[in-house]
Amino acid sequence: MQTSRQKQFDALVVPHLETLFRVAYRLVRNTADAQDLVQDTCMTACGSLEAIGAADSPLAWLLRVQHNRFIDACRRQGRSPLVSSDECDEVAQMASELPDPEQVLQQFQSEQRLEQAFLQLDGSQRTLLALRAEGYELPEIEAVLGVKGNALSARLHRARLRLARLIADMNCEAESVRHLGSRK
Amino acid sequence: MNCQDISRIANTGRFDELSEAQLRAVEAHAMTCRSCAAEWGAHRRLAELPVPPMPAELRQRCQAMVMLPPEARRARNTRRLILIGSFVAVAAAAWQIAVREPTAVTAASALEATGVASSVADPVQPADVTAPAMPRGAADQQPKEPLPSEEPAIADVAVDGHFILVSRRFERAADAQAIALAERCFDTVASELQGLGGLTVVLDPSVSLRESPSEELKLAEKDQKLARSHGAGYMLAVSTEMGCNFTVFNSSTGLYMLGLGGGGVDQPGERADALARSIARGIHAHLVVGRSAEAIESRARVLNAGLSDRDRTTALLRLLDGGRVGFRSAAETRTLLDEQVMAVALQLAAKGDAEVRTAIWSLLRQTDDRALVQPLLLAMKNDPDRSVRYQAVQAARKFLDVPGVRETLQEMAAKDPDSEREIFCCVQTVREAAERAAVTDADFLGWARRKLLDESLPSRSRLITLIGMSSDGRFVGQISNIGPDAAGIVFQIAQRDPDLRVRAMAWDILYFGQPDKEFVAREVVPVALDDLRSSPNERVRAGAARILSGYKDAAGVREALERAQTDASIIVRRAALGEGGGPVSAE
Repeated sequence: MQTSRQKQFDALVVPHLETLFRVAYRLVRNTADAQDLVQDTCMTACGSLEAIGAADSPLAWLLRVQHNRFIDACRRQGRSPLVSSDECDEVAQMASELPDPEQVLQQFQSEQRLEQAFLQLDGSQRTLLALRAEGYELPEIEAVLGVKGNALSARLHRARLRLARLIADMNCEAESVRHLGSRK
Repeated sequence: MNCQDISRIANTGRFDELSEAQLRAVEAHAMTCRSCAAEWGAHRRLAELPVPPMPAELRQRCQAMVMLPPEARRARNTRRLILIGSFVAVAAAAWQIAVREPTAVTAASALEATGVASSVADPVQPADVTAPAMPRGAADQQPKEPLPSEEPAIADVAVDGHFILVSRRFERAADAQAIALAERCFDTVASELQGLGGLTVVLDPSVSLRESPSEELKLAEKDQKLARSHGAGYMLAVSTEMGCNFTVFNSSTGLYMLGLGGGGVDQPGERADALARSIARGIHAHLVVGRSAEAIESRARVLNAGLSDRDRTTALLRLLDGGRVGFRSAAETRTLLDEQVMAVALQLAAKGDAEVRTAIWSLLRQTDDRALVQPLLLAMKNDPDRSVRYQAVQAARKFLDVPGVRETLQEMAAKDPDSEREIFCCVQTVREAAERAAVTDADFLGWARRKLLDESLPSRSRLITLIGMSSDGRFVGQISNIGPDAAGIVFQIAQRDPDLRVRAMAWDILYFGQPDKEFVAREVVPVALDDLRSSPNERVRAGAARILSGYKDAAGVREALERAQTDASIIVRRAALGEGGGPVSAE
């Protein structure tokens, strides 16, 4: 026999588990950590079922919690510096410092390098890009992150350029692929 | 299509909802704009990164949580137990590979290429199927024929663009599930390629195992040799990296093919099958259906004087590089770059904006037509844009025997204004590129040694030619190629120079250069251990971890690597886990 809390949980949270997992996986790029993140989110949700029920969008509420848990985890592990890129002056220079367009596009072909670079972004940038990669529209992302309009667009733009910059800096996979077989 | 449009689409549109025409317009613009290339590349590839299905037990675990009192909810998963279980599986898989009979070969009959596309196959995109995982081992072997026993000499066979060798490169540390998945991908992609027709498909019966990423070089060379020995123009490697991974190489150049390959499915099942099939269809579209149609359309656009410089440049890129259908062989490029096309290219190189000029010279690096020499010399000497000069320098390397070219390169190496850039990954300044381009292939190793021995140079300059990256496809390879003392000198430089970036470079060079093992064990391992334990620089720690991963039996190494698996830096953790990639020192 289900308790009322179980019923609430099943109605408000369970339908979104798949989505939470997909976003979590995009953030951390491995199944085990993604499961932990979803579980942490659910743990918070268990204590706030009434709040979720009252929210306009339970999914946005859950994604926001998941984002916060993710940022907390980043801080604990010290792996993402969480220096806000918003104030970062270097962003304007990023594009001009990138390699040729052709090389830039080619660099993205390496999945492993893309993942490595993605994991070096700060937590907020990862969340932004993960949500966009999942197809969320700007208003939906606004609801999750609490960042509005033009600022959100600008952050997305910066996050993508930052990712490209990281890949260019690593400049490893494409060149190492050349390394693999370029002796003519 | 302009930059704002790209940004808007990346911010608001869904990649999978774009029409073919929109997609082409976006990519055409991105091909000529750094910022948009970055923006679009990030958007598209992030969206395409696969996400596995949610594990079924996660739902149960979350649902169980609501039953618990708050203080008891922090039950964690049991990853360690799973890891122990996987060791058993690894042993079983290793044994399975060791005793396995030679597997595949099926040669589908080669059909004549039709030349013009009547239909376009699906682009290479992993399908987003979230079906439950298949049971382990479901992809087991099917009877396959042996390879022909007599292999023709490489030089005797012209490679065939409709002929592909499919091989397997597995990581030795891959577990049974990963191997079963890769085997399944191998079987699926091969049978799909055979079923689509128009291609001769040869399956390499052997399975290559690699201990470390640096062995990938040998495996790639082995595959290239094998592919060419059979006249196969292409090779497709199925590997266990990132789940199941596909990489397509051109066997003539050894270069991987832009736009093909990809992967990263980590559980067997329909999703993996769908990915393998889509890879096969993409390859088929490239090798059989798309290339001629693409060439005809692109050539017409290149010659259309009514289009903008950028559009014509994009068309030229598609024509020579194969655009969306991938890489073209050098022979194809020579044929396509006829007099009319060359005339347009030179016109664009002279009058286009800086990005167009850069793109044109980058494209013309592939050719050795002497009609390029005078325009090249002009661009090298006079172009105000460093990117244009950089690409022109690279293109000039093919004409070192033409009077004036080497002299111009040497002059640029000494005087080009682009000289100040402290980047540790590769050749970056025009001066450096010019110096390198002036070196003949025959003198390349000697030049690299002279640079290493030149104590008047900064440490970075002494080491940069040895690092495993190249702007022109030339590599030192094993460090002993430039002398038995080279590894020792690199090691000394690393120890003397206080700049930690130099030290990280040295670790990379010693890792990829495969120096004498006794020397490393005796001299390098103790220092690398110290670095791994206490260096404040993550790239130094990562480089040290990679060196040490080959010496786990040395005192203290195994323990240090295990500790490094919890390092705050992801590149250190990955290095300690033996996960590869290119140099870690690049900044």
